[in-house]
Amino acid sequence: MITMKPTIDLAAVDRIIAEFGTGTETAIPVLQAVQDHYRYLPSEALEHICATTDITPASIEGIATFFAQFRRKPVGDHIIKICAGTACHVKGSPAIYEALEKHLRIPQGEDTDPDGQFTLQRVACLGCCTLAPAVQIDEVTYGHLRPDAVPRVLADFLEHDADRKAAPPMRFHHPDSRTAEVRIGLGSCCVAGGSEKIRQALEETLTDLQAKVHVKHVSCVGMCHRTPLLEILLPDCPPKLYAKVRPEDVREIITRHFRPRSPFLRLKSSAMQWLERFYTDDGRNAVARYSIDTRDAPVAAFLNAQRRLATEYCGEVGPTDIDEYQRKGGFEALRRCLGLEGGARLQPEDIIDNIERSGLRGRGGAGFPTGRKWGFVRAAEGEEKYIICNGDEGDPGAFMDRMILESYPFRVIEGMLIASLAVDAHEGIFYIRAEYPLAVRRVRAALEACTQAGLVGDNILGSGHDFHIRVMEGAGAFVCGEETALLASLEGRRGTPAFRPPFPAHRGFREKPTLVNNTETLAFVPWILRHGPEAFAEFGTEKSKGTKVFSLAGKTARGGLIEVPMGVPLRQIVEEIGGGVQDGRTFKAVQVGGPSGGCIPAHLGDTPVDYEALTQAGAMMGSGGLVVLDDSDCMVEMTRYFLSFTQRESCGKCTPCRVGTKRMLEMLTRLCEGHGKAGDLERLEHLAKVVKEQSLCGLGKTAPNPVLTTLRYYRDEFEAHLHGRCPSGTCKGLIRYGITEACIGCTKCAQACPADAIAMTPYQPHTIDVEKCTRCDVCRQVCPVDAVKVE
Amino acid sequence: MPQLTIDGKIVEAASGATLLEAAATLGIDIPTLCHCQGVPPRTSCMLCVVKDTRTGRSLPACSALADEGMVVETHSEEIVAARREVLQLLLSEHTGDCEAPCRRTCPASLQIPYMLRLIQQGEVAAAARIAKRDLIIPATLGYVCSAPCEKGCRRHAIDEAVAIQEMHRQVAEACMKEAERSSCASESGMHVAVLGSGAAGLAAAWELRRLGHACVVHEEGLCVGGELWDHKELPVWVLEAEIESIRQAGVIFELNSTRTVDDLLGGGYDAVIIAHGGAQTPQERVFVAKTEHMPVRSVFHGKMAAAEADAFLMGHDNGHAKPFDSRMHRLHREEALLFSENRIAPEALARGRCPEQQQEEAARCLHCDCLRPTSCKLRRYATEYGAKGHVYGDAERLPLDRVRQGAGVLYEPGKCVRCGLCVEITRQEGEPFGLGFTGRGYGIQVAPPLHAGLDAALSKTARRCVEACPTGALAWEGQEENTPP
Ligand SMILES: Cc1cc2nc3c(=O)[nH]c(=O)nc-3n(C[C@H](O)[C@H](O)[C@H](O)COP(=O)(O)O)c2cc1C
Ligand code: SF4
Ligand code: SF4
Ligand code: SF4
Ligand code: SF4
Ligand code: FES
Ligand code: FES
Ligand code: FES
Repeated sequence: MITMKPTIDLAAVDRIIAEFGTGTETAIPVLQAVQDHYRYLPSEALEHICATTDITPASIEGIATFFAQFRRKPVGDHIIKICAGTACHVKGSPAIYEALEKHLRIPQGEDTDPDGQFTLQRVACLGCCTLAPAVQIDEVTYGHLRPDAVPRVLADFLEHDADRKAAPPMRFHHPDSRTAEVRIGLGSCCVAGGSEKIRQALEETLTDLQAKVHVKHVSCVGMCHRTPLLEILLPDCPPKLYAKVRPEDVREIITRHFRPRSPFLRLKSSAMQWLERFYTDDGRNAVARYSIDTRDAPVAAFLNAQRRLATEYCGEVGPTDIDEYQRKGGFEALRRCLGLEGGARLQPEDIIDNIERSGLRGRGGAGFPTGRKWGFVRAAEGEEKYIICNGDEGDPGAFMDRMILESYPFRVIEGMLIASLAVDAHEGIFYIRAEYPLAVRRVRAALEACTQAGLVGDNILGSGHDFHIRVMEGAGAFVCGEETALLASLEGRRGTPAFRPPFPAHRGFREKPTLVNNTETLAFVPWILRHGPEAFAEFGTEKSKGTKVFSLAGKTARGGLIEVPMGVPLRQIVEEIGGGVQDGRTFKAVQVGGPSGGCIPAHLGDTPVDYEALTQAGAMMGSGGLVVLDDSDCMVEMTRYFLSFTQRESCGKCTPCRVGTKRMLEMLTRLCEGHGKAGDLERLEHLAKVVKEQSLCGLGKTAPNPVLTTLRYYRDEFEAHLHGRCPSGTCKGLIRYGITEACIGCTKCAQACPADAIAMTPYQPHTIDVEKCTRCDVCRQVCPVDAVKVE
Repeated sequence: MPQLTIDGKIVEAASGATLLEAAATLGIDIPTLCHCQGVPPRTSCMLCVVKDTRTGRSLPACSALADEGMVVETHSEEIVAARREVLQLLLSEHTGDCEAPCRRTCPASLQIPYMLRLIQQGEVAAAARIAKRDLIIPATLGYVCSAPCEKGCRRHAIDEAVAIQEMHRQVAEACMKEAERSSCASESGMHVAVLGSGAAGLAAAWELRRLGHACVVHEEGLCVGGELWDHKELPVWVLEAEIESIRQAGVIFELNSTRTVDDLLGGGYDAVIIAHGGAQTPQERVFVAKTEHMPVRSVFHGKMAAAEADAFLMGHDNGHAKPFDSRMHRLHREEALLFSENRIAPEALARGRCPEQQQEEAARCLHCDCLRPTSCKLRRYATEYGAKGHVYGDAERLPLDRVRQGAGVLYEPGKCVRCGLCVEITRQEGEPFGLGFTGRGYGIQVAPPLHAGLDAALSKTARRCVEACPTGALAWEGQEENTPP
């Protein structure tokens, strides 16, 4: 509890209002800015806003309590965001949360420790699922966490906190085609994986060696499971890629490729290395262990089955380098549309016809034909029209849109520009999820570059067409991905969906015709116009054309962002691209489409990725999250997890979703705790059907999907729970931890147990006090002889 | 002007009309909660769903526009089941009692809080009428009943139950002489015989009369009253006076009667009610009023048997189908105390007979019943659709809260169905504060924003909001509805 109430200086509020204006539409940005300033929303500030703007008390209170981002209570000095996304969940994030709560001695029902130092916050997905389980402390991400590592992580954070504040701004090196190039991935996963430290180490090394090398920051390489990545390109040599690089390896990698200029430096460098090794007793050969070759079989498998359209030039281009984008064919499609590439200027109808013939369907989930949607907006009456790029991506376990926005902002901007020509709109808005600060920064930088280059703004490239683009940050509500809810929040209202029709294409933002497209949908547009609709339609199946970007996470050996042609069977993705499941487990199911999708069991692994085929199997294309589950995952628990997500994210407007998801969750929780009652399964199934049928918006209509698919494919597991048994040993209420005779008395488990449930008895067999045991699984993970058993 | 089919009937809807409006032109009534004339549809309750059989989609009738060629079903089995489920979901989180616990525990369902309110206001005659309507022999029961209602009384948990039995006895005795039993329906031309004149027989006889049937009570013994005479504490004059008032209403008593059921059925009676507790075999036109040790339970059975006979004779469904009753489960003590706010000091009073003391005792009633038991749409539809309040057993219910302020509006968030009508009305009318939604998902609530009070929130819209509120969440205190459901 924080008792000290800071005195509020309202001048900041006035400044913010002066910047954003006093209209009702500014409510969310104003609150975001106010929260940025005070780190929470003080009541005085809210009252002041109401007094000086058109925003009413009812609406400000409504907004401030609707969005997860807003806080009405002061926070600790640092915010720890614990990812509650799918990938992190299957890898044990709940135990991390508990361990943090325990370690920080956070009082029950609170989220801040007694000293006001740390505040815990569960977030839907940090967008670095391949590092699961992940937590983010302020801006620093820690991945692959275990409950017993919590104290170390916090100590590490505090220790480096001071340095971070003093860290120098990033230095940029200017390109020169003849010099060698070192590429560092700076996508979120890479940054989270530690690429920032690598960058520092790299720059230090290069400065020491005085090597003339161009350090380039590139977009996501798509191999997020091996981050951080470092790639070295020397003129006339095949590129060399190093994965899972550690700062201490950098010097060795670099010296292998670049010889220091002067003999003296050369000597010094190797001597230092020698000395370091000597002192650290670290004789391993970093280079050999970490270098990967794209010709390596697994890497080839990861890369070969993929086709990159939306993610073209993956890992090669700098995200905000407009010149490079243009060198590689960027804005060619736009120029062609404007008739600046030789041919005649394309009529809007021609553009729409191209898109229609390509067979492109919306990648935001529902798969509505994009060309047809553009046609509607074009035909809709009204002078004023808008285009919105939906980058709200809230599915826990999906990070395609984040990666596209971070890595290829120009591509999406170009897609939007082309759409603006097609539907004759003059204002566009990027709606980007709150948890994606890097994407917001990149898009802003890219927009700035475009404006400079005359590509965005008035009279684009002298064509007479005006199109302005701005960025709006979401405020933490999954449901705002739904288009009508998105529009409500853009207009400064609570993000609740409305009944359609009217569709946004007819009556959208400010009641005007509005084109809402998903980020990935827009990213395909330039490619289609550059290569022709037929080239696009060559990929895919009869009704689902082109390629689809997926984020692959969960229990596979390799994870990351992949782009495959539609129609590829799920099994091929899991086994070839993902490299099968980890640790010798067996592939059980793949969860497609996030919480609105469903689990497709291994025996239906031949289901192709195709809108209709997935829906038929009970899942959904959704936004494209693929989470692979193995035999240690409990399907009842997974279902409960997904439902807990949708239940939490329900906007609370319509009865079936607001109350129905809650009741379903209660029943599932009861099952997981071993308190299931006869008839629960039937009641659950019936309720799931009602919620699916009667809910107002897509969230409620799809929330029961996980329940219905798992009941369909794994009914036996549900029945086992009804009888108090969890076949995979996951549900805490139904399992017990114990130590077998195999125990060698090494005390590791006793040291690691965060609940002090294991007494330290060196050289003697250990035992677990089941009363104290919180079933966090740490002991099982640390035991060197596998003596900890779950029953 | 789109043409469409609703429940098999073709209708031409005005352009821009919703399905709800189109159905209304055919006289088809679709239930709604969040819909209200003059307020844009919020589409939130989802009670108004209908099915478009062409697409197989369920549509909210209040918001979906009538479209050319639609084929709509409004009351198919599937839709009815869906509506029932929606109601059950709403009821699973509903915190409120339609009826006060005392009334629920009184076997004859005396409308206790209303009677007490009348007493408190000094309307003794009106109170007596209610007592007679529900209990038939309220003065008698005032002596012989074991008063389970007082154990149900919520005041019991705070200090001491309201002296309910005393109250109905007093008002009934005070008005014994007046022939003010509520008037009887016009003569139906039907003749019914009642066998037995104990509590069950008397109750059945009076109810039949009230419903307009000619009624003769056949009593084996030598005096009317049967087992009631066994109660030594019951003053003779009280029972006699109550029997007399029933006789005056037109019930004929035949003493020393040895007629049998067959005899009676053959002898011109259209139906017979057996109310003597003897063994009987099921038979056409014969209805049984069980007699029990507890007189008030016998009264209940008598009333029920009369209702069944009436339904049979008049060829309608037994309209006595019990209305839906929302019940709060156990209250925490703090919650129970919420009821006692604004009530007079909780000392038990001497149970005297003078009008002032009577009024003070009646004023101890906490008024646990809902203030809008008859206009509440939720209750009405729950009754109509057979929705149950407890299908989700141990579901989490909302905490009880009662917000009241000077203007006389009582707001009970636990009864709010989040229809948003009050929110929209206060916005439309430019209330400086108004009511707003707070939170999201299951935790969403309707409340005055920024710590404003209820009076400030409803400074000029109280009337419209209370009228629009589909449930008892917003109600006028002290202006409760009282017509029995
Ligand atoms: C609950 C819910 C969440 C959604 N989230 C997203 C999202 O994060 N990103 C997105 O592009 N579309 C999302 N959608 C779909 C949008 O409503 C809309 O259909 C989409 O943006 C249209 O673009 P498209 O035609 O390019 O797919 C969501 C829909 C629902 C019902
Ligand atoms: S389905 Fe859920 S999210 Fe959608 S409107 Fe209803 S309550 Fe809100
Ligand atoms: S609001 Fe309606 S359902 Fe609720 S207690 Fe009152 S009458 Fe009953
Ligand atoms: S005393 Fe008996 S008859 Fe009277 S109200 Fe209570 S329970 Fe009903
Ligand atoms: S209080 Fe308001 S939102 Fe709640 S049911 Fe009544 S009118 Fe609807
Ligand atoms: S980062 Fe945790 S699930 Fe995505
Ligand atoms: S973000 Fe770096 S490889 Fe994906
Ligand atoms: S949704 Fe139509 S009346 Fe409530």
